[in-house]
Amino acid sequence: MRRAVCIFLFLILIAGGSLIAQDVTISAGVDKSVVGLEGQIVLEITVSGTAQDLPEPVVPRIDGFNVYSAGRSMRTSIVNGAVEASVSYRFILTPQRTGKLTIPPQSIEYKGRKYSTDPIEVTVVNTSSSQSQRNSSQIQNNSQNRSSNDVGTNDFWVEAEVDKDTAYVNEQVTLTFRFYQGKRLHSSPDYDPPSATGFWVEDLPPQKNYYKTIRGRNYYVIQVKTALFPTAPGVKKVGKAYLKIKEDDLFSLFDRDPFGFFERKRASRKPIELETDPIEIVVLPLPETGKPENFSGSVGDFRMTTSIDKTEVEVNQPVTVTVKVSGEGNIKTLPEPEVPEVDDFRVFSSGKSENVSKAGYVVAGWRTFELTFVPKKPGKFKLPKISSNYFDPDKERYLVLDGREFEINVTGVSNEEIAAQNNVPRNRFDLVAKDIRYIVTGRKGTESWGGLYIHDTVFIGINTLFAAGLLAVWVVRRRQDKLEGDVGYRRQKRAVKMAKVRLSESRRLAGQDKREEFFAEISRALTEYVGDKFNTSAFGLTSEQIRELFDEKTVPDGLKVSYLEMLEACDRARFAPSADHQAEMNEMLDRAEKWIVQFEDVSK
Amino acid sequence: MRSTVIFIVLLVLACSYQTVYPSDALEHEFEQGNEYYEQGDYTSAIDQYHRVLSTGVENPVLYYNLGNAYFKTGQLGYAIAMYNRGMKYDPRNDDLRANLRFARQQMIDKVDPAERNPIWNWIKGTILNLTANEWSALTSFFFLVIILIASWMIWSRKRTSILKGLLTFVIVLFVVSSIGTGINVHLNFFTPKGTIVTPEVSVKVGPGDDFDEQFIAHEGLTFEILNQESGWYQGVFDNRLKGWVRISDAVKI
Repeated sequence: MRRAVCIFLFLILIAGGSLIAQDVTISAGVDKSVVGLEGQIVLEITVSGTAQDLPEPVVPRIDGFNVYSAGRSMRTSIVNGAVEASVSYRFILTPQRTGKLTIPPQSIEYKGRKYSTDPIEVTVVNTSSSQSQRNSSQIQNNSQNRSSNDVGTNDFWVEAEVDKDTAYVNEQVTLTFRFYQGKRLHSSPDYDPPSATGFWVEDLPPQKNYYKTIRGRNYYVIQVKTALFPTAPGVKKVGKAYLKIKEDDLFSLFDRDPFGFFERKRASRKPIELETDPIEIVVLPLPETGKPENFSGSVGDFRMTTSIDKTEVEVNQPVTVTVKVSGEGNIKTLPEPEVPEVDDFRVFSSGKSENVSKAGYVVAGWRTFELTFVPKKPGKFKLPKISSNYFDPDKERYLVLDGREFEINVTGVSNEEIAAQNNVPRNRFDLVAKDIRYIVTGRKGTESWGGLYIHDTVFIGINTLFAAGLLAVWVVRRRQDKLEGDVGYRRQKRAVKMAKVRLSESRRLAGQDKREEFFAEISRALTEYVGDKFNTSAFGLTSEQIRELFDEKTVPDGLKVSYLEMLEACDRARFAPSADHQAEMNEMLDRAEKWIVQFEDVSK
Repeated sequence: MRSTVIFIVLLVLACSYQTVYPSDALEHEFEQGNEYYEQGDYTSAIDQYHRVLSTGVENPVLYYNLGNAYFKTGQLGYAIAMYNRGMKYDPRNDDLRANLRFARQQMIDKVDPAERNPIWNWIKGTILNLTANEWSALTSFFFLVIILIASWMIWSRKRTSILKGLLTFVIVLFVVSSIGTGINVHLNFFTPKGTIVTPEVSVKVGPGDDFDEQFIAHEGLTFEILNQESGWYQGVFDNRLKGWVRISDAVKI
């Protein structure tokens, strides 16, 4: 920042063509004039002036105080065309004894002249009450913050500081959180990192643990670092960091009221929350002067290397150029280099990888980008240089990264040439097609597909019918085989059919009033039916033989008797005249039919 | 003989059953889409074709026209997805094949398929050359022929070696076509596939943005969906690389 201001001042001086008076002033102030022995005060020494190289005060030695440097901040203002810069240096003073102590005048030398501050008187009292006054700070933009819990009277405290309170966008600012532990803890502390809106945050392991002696007392210090990369210019705030601890009060058991042991024990296990003060960081926009048009946004210190996987290749075969950008800065936000457009090549991004290291609490590493070039035709080609750029905050200027220029030799024949050589453009139509084929119009587009056949019940039904047809053929064939091979079976199956034929003939005879023939036919139908059913010759069957057959086949008595009665009635009717022929014949016909139906039912 | 006639009649009925004619309104929607396309208003054409699709119509011509409209609007991934959908229902459609091939030529990614058994590749290509329903109908036909031959052998009581050989041959064809049906249905309807529709996609090693990048894929690249989890597809690409793609970056075929 200081360099930027100096360059700026220098340009103004040159442009103006006149020298501006180089006045330098120094002033000093403290945040409070009364402090407890366990407390601390902040001394701020401000050097301001229009000079390019403002002198820096040395770390003061102050009798009665331990002095720690706490960073610095810079402000620039332009009033009536005059540029004035002021740099504030902060120091933390912790008292070593009580009483009225004097901070002696602080001085700087510039061009042979000595500039001094006035002495400051500070009263150190033997209490820690002055801690509470810390909030009424007279100093703005302090970059070191320390808190302590009132209960432990500096047995524990936390502090957060940044290595710089002014940074460029995307420049690393390292936030350091420290926990000073003067006593044992009951359990591990619980750290809640500060909110960092407006920053890209990267943890910086490892956590560092060490001992430090402050005011003659030994502290165990736990230090955690975090890298912050501001994402936009402006005044950005790093919020409070919190630490929850549980104090182990076991050692104070003996110097207090022994009867209050359990009560105190419980109280001591209550968590104590320590917190740091928020920190403001001034984020500067990247300078417009010298900013490249295609500025990538990278800030840091980077290098670029490029490599190619092959330089001899065939048409349509890919060549990969690997671009590796390495250095210090926010590696993860390094943008991809622009993919150049090259005639006779199709170019596209085909991959990227990264490796981030945080050695020495600095975010560094490398990022690779793969660009694939696919040649469309043969020949010797120079691939374009891949280039990128970045802003170096230390040098405060923009720098360009250039890759190597590769030459490749493409062999083979292009698709267009193949088509031309063969002189058969129709057959190679697709290779030289310039566009897709036209849409299809008409009703075809709305015909429903109808789903899979294998899920369709009709389809399944038809195939089931095929199988059923085969089964039916087999069953019919088998039945026919049986009829042809087994006379008894055939006679049995045909008995009803034959009986019906004869009864039909009887009905015809009845219609012609041929009484004698009718009863003869009925008698024959009944006898042959029984003969067929029992596979015996009907010729000459007597009533006695029929009775024996019925008995043998366990025909019910009712049917047996009925049958014999019908045969007897037929014999009788053939020789005995009757008054009402027709009624007699119809009754007999009806009776015979019913008997056959009943016999069929029984014999099933 | 009479049963054969009945079978043939039933087969004709079954074939006619598949044809379901669309309503006039649907036809109008489709034609309207075609008109938009002809006028160069491809976005409206896409909307119009989607209206027809939303009624449940699955038609290769509809997918072909929709793919064309997507291609014309520069949405290569969607175009390839629609052509692929159409190929399921009409794999031998010359227009579909030509436009799918042309669209694939415009893709950035040229993935070399992992080496596979060439015999399997040939079998798969042959099976996918017919639709699932064509395979089903073929299987059904061979089944009918088996029934007819077997019925004739039973009825006529003839067991000549010619008939036996013919029956064995048709049974083999029936088994082959049954396997073809099964594989086709499995590949087309039970193996979900996706196509990348976003111009550039970071394929991750796990289902989430926090996972590392496996590789970069570009629109049009098709993959087989193995798994789906919390808004991400796990896919295997033609070169057998596996990775996770956000569902919003892909469309199911």
